[in-house]
Amino acid sequence: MNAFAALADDTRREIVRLVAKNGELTSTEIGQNFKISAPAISHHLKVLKSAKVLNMKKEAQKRIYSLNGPSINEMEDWLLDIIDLWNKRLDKLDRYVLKIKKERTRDKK
Amino acid sequence: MIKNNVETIIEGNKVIYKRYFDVPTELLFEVWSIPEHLAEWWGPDGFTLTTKRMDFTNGGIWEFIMHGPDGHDYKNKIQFTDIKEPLHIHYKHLGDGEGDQDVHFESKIIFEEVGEGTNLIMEQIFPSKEELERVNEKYGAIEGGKQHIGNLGKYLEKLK
Repeated sequence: MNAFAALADDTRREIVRLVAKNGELTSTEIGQNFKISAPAISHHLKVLKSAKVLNMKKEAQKRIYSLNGPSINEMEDWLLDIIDLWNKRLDKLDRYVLKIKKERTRDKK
Repeated sequence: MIKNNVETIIEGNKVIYKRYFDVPTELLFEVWSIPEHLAEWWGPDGFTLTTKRMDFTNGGIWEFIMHGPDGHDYKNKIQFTDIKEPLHIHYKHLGDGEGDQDVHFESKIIFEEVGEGTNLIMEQIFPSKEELERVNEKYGAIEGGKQHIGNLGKYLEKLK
């Protein structure tokens, strides 16, 4: 699952928001903010970790989560690329439809 | 963020493009719906496009490959969810169809008749609002920078 798919879930977005706000949080601290079961939270954390949205480090028995900066930047760049691509594409579309319009008007004459 | 007749807005989890085309709505709809037309404009500069299959109906799939100038192939799979000629086309992006790069976002293309021409409004809906908000800040900075350069260019023209 990529980062976008991982973030398509409401609970996971909420988790990311919490972690981003606090810098670092243990899985227990994250769980305290939700009404859902510990295993469910653990599953969400695993998804976010494998999608590289969150980093995890272990200290003794604790699992500490933080935001994966480079991966978030990658997502942003990808989005900016898409926006840029569409603007260029629409430029091209504009040239293309005007060309067709000209050809068809000529054919009618 | 308006340049000539283009506007790109980032709002919530959507990116919205608005643009005026000086052609009838039917023609604009036509070039969105036929593979031969799409091949002419869909690829970025230097790219060519091969349509593997296209079923331009509700629920139909358009599968195509973009061949990059560097010899790289990019597979794409799109599913049309709602088509109403010549008013709108809604579709879902299903990534590369291989399932390992499942980027999911939806697009709505709306064709609005304006006199002799057409306003094209395109909404891209992404799963993550937070990401888009951050991108908006970045994008604003980039666009601002572009305008800045544009203004500088105009100013230099004046000095000539």
